Amino acid sequence: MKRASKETGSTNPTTPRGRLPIRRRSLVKRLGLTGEWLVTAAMIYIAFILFVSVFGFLFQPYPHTQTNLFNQLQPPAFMQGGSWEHILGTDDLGRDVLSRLIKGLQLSVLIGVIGTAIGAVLGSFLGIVAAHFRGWVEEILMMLVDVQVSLPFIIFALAVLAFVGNSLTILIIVVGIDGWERYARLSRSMVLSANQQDYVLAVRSLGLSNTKIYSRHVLPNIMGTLIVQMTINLPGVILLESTLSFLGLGVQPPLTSLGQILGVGRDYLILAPWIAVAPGLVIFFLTLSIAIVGDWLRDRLDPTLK
Amino acid sequence: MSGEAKHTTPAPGATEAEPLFQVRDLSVVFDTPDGTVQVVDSVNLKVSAGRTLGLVGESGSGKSVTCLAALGLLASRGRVTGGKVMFNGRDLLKIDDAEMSKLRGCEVAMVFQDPMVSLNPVRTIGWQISESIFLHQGLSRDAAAKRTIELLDMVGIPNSKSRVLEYPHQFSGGMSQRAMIAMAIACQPKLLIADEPTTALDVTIQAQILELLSDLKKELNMALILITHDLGVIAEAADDVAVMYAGRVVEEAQVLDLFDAPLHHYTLGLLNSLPRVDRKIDRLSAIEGAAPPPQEFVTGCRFEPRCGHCNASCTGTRPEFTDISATHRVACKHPMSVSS
Amino acid sequence: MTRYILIKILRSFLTLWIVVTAVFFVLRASGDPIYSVFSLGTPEATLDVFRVKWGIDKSMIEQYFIYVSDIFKGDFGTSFFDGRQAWDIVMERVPKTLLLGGVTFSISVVIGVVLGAIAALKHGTFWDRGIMTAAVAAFSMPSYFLALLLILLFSLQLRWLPTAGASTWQHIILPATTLGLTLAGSIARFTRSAMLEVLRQSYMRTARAKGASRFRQIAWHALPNAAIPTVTVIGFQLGWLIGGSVVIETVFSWPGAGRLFITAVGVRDFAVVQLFILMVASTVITANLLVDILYGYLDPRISVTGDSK
Repeated sequence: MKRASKETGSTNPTTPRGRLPIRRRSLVKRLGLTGEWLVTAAMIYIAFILFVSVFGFLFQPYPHTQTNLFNQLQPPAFMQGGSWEHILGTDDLGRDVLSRLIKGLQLSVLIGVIGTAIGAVLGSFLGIVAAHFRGWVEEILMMLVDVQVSLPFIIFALAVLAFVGNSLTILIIVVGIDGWERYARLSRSMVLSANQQDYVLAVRSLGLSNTKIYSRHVLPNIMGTLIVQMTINLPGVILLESTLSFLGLGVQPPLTSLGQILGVGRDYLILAPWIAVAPGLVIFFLTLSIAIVGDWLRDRLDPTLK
Repeated sequence: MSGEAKHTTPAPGATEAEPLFQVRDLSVVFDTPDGTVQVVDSVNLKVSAGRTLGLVGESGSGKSVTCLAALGLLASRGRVTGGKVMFNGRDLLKIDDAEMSKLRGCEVAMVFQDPMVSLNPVRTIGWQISESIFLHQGLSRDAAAKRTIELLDMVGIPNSKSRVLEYPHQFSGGMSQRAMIAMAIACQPKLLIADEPTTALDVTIQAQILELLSDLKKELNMALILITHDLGVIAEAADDVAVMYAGRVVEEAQVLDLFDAPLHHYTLGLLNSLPRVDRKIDRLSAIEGAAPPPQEFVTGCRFEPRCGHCNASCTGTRPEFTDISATHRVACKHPMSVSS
Repeated sequence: MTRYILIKILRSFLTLWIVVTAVFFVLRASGDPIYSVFSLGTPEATLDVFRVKWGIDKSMIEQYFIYVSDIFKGDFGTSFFDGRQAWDIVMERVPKTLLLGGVTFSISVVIGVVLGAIAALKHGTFWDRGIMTAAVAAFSMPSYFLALLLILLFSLQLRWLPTAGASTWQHIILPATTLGLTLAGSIARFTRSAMLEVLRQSYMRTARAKGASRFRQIAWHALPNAAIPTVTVIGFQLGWLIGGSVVIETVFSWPGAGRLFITAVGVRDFAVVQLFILMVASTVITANLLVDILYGYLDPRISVTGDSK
């Protein structure tokens, strides 16, 4: 045990003398990262993925659509028969897997982030509206939530994409709808309780307009919880897009996403496992990292959310 | 009642010489993310059969922790670092878990602060009381059920026959606490520890519960430890008092002595903050400052930062106990003069 | 309690009706169903014959009312492709899906609950961290990728297990493992947090103070309480399981209803897709209803006071 030289936590200024020795908090501990090497690693990985999806085009060795029929299914550099020209090998059309990976990652991350944002904005808005108007508006919303919960989202998404057709826009909208009901429930219950609180009653009695009350007073208070919920939903959205693309109903060529590359790789599992394994690992570590950071954020910011 | 008593009654004379329950130099630390803090520091307590020890202090003074530690009920972050807990000639800190389980709820029982959360919500009251009987007395199902109803009658729960089948949420706070007490006395314990048994209850119910505890103590010749922050409760129900402050006992006395001639400045502060009908005071005085959290405990007299009568000698070293009489002692270097 | 359940049942039917209606109109809005079978150059006269035969010559509203009233007669429409009743087509696939789902569900519930309880009881230790990291990893894993990895390892490298079909009992191992791992992971997490919540309640201290053994404290005092939130969450996982099985059945060529759905969706087989969605929605809604009833049964605070918590 070290003798404490600095005060920690809440202190009482009248009692500076002769403290009992307590162990001091280290810097890492104060950041909440002691023994959290997993969280640290996850954060680094997420930062790396973000960097690659924004600046990846700078390092992309080949255009992702460039085919080379004389160089099909070439193994990665570290496998027998591989070369450093195609570090992660080539696919069935001789396209460079690394280049496709970078390009695919870009679109996967983009769809994931935009999709999550759509769901969050849509859901929170509906939730706030329901909590504000109560009555039949709220009844209808809760009914819609019930409907959404009763149908596994992927089934709905597959049906819509197959029947209505799929452009990138439709895909993003469909993926964006996923999870709206979670934000709606959450924001509804939080606004309901916020509306009972003194500070809202106070600003309301001052005659502030509803828009101002919600945007300046209520929203900032529920924002933290919504952001944590977004972090928790993000991996699900990324997985949803990749699953749809894997099944051939998501991102369509010439565009590419991680799931789509995997879908192609599935047919060459015996001859060229790297086509499927490389994007699979990227997605897996990405969703895992976001989930780890999300859990950590939730524990730190909002332990009420489970 | 006594015909069913399982335990052989101790010789009455023996209890005078050797108290039934004695805590000696007990120290407890908590492991927190910020380090280890000592919450109980060399505490001594004793109580004999048929008597009530009132353990009084502000919240955080370590009174509950002392008793929980003595029964091995500390949460996982708490650790006993030294001392002895003698019960009936045995050191409770030395016996193994299995033996401790046999003892708990049987010879030593405990009643907790908030009865509404201390009862299992998915089990009936009857189930929970008969569990104690089942665990320690091995009665048949019918006999246990019969005994459960007897116990409910004993603690004054009306319609006991139908209420055994009810769940805790159907009980009011006072009735829940009665049920908790019934559960605690199910095996006629020698020692009953009541941790703030009335704090969560309405004032009118408080007196009833205290009376019930006192009656049961006499009826079963138990030793009773009454933990409270409320000197009113002490005045009503205790025989002896130990005042705790910041993890240490600062004064011990018989109840009348304590109220008549408090010696520690903290005790006096507590008494002055209590409304009394026998003294005419214009306003109640509160003790300056707040009770410190354990990480801010000082090494000398722990009350020194808030005390108006201290000098340099109070810091640095722990004040030793001074015996004023056979039953009254205080840990203060400048106690209130006995004459005043 | 009965009133509460009656309202729940009514609401369930309302939900189901909305699902059926929404799906009907969303699918029809995608274009004339006739072109999902015939190519664009087909003479109008031929098309009209089939339009009348399939009842899609009428207005969409009329079609909707016919569709809904037929449902009450037990007629879920005809597949445009082989002319068979959609009901027959789907039902011949359902047993395989039930088999896969049932095996997966029961195994993952057992594994998930046990591991979650262990993690909670060993809170903060190596076991806790290990189990929880594995659980997060399990449900962060894209199920189709896990499927491919398992195929790669157990079928292509080790040649222990078959990759496709459902003819022997070995065929179920890989798909069930893939689906179950993810499910067990989330169940373990929920069980752990429910258990942790219960373990820090005062009544657990009461049980200890009573002298109950460690086993008794957990089995008789903690588990019945932890079961209340866990059952709800496990119930909600059923929808997820059905969604996941659609993907997994496709990857492993498991001849179940999920794979049928993917095929039907690909060829725009309206009747089959509608019936499949109707069945999935009713299954999920029924499961949620059962969870509600079970909840009231497990938690005396609900069953006695009626409809409020």
